[in-house]
Amino acid sequence: MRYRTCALLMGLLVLPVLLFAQQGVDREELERQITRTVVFQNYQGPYERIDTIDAIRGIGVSLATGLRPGSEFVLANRYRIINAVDPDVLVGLDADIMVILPDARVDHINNVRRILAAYLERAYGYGSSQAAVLAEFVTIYNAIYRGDMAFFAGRYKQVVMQHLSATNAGISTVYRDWPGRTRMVVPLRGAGLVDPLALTDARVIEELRERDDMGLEPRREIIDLAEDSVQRDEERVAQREREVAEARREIAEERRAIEEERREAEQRQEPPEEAARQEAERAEREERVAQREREVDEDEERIEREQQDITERTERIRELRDEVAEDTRTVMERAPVAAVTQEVLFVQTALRDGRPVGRLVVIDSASAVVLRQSSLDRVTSRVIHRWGNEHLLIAEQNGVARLMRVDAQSLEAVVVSQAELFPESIVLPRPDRGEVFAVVRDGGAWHLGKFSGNLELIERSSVSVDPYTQMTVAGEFVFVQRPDGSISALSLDDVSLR
Amino acid sequence: MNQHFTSRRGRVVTALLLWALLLLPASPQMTAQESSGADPMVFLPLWTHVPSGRLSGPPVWTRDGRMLFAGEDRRLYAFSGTGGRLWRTDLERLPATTVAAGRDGSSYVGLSPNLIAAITPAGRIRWSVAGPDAPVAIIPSPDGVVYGVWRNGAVTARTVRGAAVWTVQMAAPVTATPVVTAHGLLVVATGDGALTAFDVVGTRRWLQRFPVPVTALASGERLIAGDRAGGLHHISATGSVLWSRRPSESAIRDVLLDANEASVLRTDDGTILAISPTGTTRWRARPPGTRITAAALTDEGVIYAGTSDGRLIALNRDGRLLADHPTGRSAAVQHVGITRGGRVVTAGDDWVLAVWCVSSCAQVGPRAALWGHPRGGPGGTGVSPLYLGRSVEAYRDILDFIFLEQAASSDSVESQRRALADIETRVAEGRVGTAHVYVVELLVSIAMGGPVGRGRTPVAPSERERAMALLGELGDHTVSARFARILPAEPSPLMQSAILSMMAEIESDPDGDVVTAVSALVQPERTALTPGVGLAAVGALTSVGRYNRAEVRIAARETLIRMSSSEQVSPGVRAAAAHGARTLE
Repeated sequence: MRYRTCALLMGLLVLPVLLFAQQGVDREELERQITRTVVFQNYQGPYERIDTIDAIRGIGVSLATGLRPGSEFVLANRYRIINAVDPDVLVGLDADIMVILPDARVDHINNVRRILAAYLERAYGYGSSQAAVLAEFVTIYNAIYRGDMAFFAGRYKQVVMQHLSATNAGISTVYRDWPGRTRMVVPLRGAGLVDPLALTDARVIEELRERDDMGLEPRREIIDLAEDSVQRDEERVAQREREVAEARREIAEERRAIEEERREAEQRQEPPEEAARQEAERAEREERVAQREREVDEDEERIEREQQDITERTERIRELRDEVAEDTRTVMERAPVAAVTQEVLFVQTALRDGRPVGRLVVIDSASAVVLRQSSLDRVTSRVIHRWGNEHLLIAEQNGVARLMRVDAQSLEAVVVSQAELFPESIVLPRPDRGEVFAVVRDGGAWHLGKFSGNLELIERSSVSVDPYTQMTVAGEFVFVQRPDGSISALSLDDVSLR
Repeated sequence: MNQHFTSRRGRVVTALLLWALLLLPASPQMTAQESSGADPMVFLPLWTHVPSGRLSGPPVWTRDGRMLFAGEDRRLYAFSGTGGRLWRTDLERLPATTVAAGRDGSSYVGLSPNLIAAITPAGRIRWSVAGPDAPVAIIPSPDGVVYGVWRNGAVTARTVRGAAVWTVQMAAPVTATPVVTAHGLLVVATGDGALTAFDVVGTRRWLQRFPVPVTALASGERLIAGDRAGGLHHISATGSVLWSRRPSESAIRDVLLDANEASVLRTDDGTILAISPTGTTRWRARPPGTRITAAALTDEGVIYAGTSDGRLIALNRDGRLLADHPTGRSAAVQHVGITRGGRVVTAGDDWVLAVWCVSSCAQVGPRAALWGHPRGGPGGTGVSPLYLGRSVEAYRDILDFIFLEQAASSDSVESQRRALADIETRVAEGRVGTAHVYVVELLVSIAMGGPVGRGRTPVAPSERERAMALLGELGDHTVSARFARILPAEPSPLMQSAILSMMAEIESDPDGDVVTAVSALVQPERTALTPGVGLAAVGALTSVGRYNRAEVRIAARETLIRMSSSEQVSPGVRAAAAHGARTLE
C-alpha cells in the first residue's frame, strides 16, 4: 500500500519530469525521488519440473506466430498477447501488451525476459542480442511504473489504456504476483516497431545507473536500437523529400506547358468554339495540377512534422549518449588504482646458443608492464622458489650453472654456490631446515647434493643420479632416479643410499 | 619414466617443451619475443576521451597537428596532440565515413543518408552537398579536388568550395574505400569485380576485372588490392595485374603498406598476414581465443593491432610479439591509428578513445611535429604519399588548356580579356569543371602580372584584378600563400587591395601566411596605408581569422588590435580593425 501511494506520488511527478527532460533531467532531484531500486524476487524453492530454455523461448515464439495485427492471441490459457494499435489516433503510443494469465507458472524474471525476447525476435525481426536488451528494458520499465495509470495514460492511446488497470498494469517485482496480475506494456511507434526511446524513461535509466557498472552496456545497446529507428525514418523522409521535389518539378513543368499552349493558341487565333474547348481542357488540367499541388503541400507538412519528430528524438538520443559517456568516464575513474603495485615475478625466455634461457623480470599484475628486470639473463631453472625475501634458482655464470639466491627487489644475486649444478636440475628447498637439494656434478657424473642456507655444498650422494631426476620427499628420505632408470631412496640427513 | 628422458635429443626437446611453461601467453601462431637485450615494449596510457558514441572511422591528423574524428553523437571533434579539445561541431546528421583531412586544414565527412560536408579548420560547416546515395568515402586530392564516392557507385569530384567538377556513375555499388595512386589516379572498386581508375579530369584511364569484388585497396609506390575471397593482387600503373596470390580463405578487410612496400593484411576472420613485396606470405598471426579487429602499420614495419577482447598488440616485421597489452576494458578495439610521433591511438566499441605512448612518454608536449604531417603531405588519407599533385605541364596536351594558355599569354590585351571572360563565364555558370586544375594556374600567372611561361608585356591592372577576383571565387588556398610572399613588395595600392580582397574571399590560410604578410604591411616603419588597402587588410584578417585554426585566429586578432591603434591607418580603418578584432574574440 505504501508502495502504491509512493508510486502514485511518483506518477504525479512524472509528467513534469518528462516535460523538463527536454531541457535536461535534474539528476539529484530524481535520485531523491527514487526510494528503492527494482529488485525482482524470483522463486527459490525446489522445482517440480524444469523447462528448457528453448521451451521457454518457444512460448514467445508461439505468441508472435499466433498474433494477428490489431488482435490478440491466447496461448494455452497461460499467456496472452494483445496488439493494441489505432492508426487513426495520431497522439500517443500504441503497444503490445503481454499478459501473464492465472495459470502461468513462470517464476523467474529471466524467463519472463526470455519469453519477451523470443516474441520480439519473431514478431519484429530483432536480432537475439537486440531483443534481449529490449526485454530487459521492458521489464524494468513495467516494474518501475507498476500500476501507475497516470503515467501510462499520459503516453499511450486509449486503445492501450482500455486493457490496463491499477492492479495489473506493468509487472510486480515479486514472482507470486505475476499470474493473473501482469500486463506488460511494450511501446510501439510508427510502422509498428518497438519504440526503444520510450523505454529510456529517466527513471529506467536511473535504475540501471544504480548497478555497479552503471548499466553502460545495455544503455549503449538501447541507444543503438533507437539510433537505428531514427536512421530508418531519416532515410524514409529523405526519400519522400526527393519525391516531393520531383512532384514540384513536374507541377511547374505542367504549368509552363499549359501557359505555353495558351500563348500558342492566342497566336493561332482558333475559331471561338475550338478556343473555348481548348481553354476548358486547359482549365481542367490546371485544376488537376492545383489538386496535385495541394496534395504535395500536405505531404510537405507531414514531412515537416516527421522531421521535427526526428529532430526531437535525435536530441533525446544525444542526451542519452552524453550521459553514457559521462558515466563511462566515471566507471573508468572508479577502477581501483593500487597504492602499491601488485608485483609478479616472471621469467622471459630466449634462445641463446640454441638453448632456452631466461631473465627474471617483475611485472605489474594489472597491466603486465615490466617494472624491472634482472641483469641475470641465463637462468636455467624450470621453477623459481621463494626463499624468504629472495628467490632460489639456478643460473649460468661464466658458462657454469650454479645455485643462487636472488634478491626479490633488486633481482640481483646475493649468494652464489661454488658447486656446479645440472642446469635443468630440480631444486628442492626445505627452508624450515635451512637446506636445499639439487643435482650437482662430481667428476663425470651427476649426484644429489645437499646445500646449506648459504648455498654451501655440505653433502653429496655417493651414488649417481639421472640429472633430470624428480625429487620426492617421504618421511626421512628423498626418492630419486638413478641413471639406469631405477628409483632409490636417499637419506635427507646425509644423502646416503638406504 | 618416459623413454624420452633417456636420450640426449629427447632431453633437449623436453627442455624446450618445459620452457613453454614459462613463456608469455602464446599460440602456435604467435611467437615469443626474441631477447635482443632491449627492454620489452610497453604501452603507457597518455590520455583518454569518451565521445558520446563510436567513431565513424579511425582518427585523422591535419597538417597542423590536430586530431579529428566524428562520432555517432553526430559531432566532429578536434583535439590537440596533448588531449585538449579544440572544438566540437554539431553535424546534425550521423557521420557515415571516416573524416578526411584537406590540404589546408579543413576537413570533410560523409553524413547519413546522402550528404558530404566540408568543415573549416575553425570547426564551422562551410558547405554540404547531397549525393545520390549514402557516402562511402571522401578523398581530398592534392590536386585541389575533393572526390566523393557513393554507395550506389557514383563518383563525384568537387572543388574545395563544393562546386561540381565531374560525376561518373559506375555500374555497381562500391565495395572498397577508394585510393589515389602514386600517379594521381582515383581507383574505385565495385561489386561487379571491376577496378576502375580515373584521372583528375574524370577520364577513365583503365579498367581491370576480377572474378570476385575487391574489398580493400592500398596505394604507396604500388597499388595493392585484396578481394572478398582472400586474394591479393599487385596492379601496375596501367591497370595490368603484375601478380595475384591467395594468402587467405577469408575476405581481406585492410591492406597496409610500409615504407618498403611490404604489405600487412587484415582478414575477415581476424587474422593478420605479412606479405612480401613479391606477394609471398611471410607469416600469419592470430591471438588465441580472439580476433584482430583493427591494425595500423608504421613505416618501419611495426604492426599495432587491436583485438575483439580489448587488447593492444604489437608485432615486429618478423612476426615477433613485442607487446600484448590489455586496454583495461573488454570491448573490442574498433580502430587503431599511429601518429607521426609514434603514439598509438585506439578507439573501442565502448566509445573510449585512448592515446598510448610506446615504451616512453618522454616527448609529451604540444609539438605539432608529433602529430602532423609534412606541409602538403596527405598522410593516411587514402592518397599515395608519393603523389603531391600535378603541375600545369601535365595538361599541355589538352586542347582547352592550349586555347586558354595561348589567349592568356598573348601580347594582345584583347586576347587576355577574352581568356578572362571565358573563365569568368565558366565560373559564373559553374562550368569550370575539368578545367579547374589548370585554370587556377593560368589565373595566377595573369594576376601576378606576367604571362604564362613567357616574359612579355605586363598585364594591365584591370585584368590582374579580374584574375584575382576569379581566384577568390575558386578558393585555392595555395594561391593565398603565393601572393602573401609578394604582397609587401607590391607597389600599387590598387593591386594590394585586390590581393587582400582575394585572400579574404579564399579564407583558407593554414600556415598563417596571409596574417604574416598583412602584419608586415602594417609595420610602423612602412608607408601609411591608403584607406582602401587598410580596409581590405581588415577584411582579409577578419575572414582568415574566422576560418582558420586558433593560432591563426589569434595572430589575426593581434594584428587587428595593432591596426586599431595605429597612426599608419585612417580613423575609419582603425574603427573597422577594432570591430574585426571583436568578432574574433
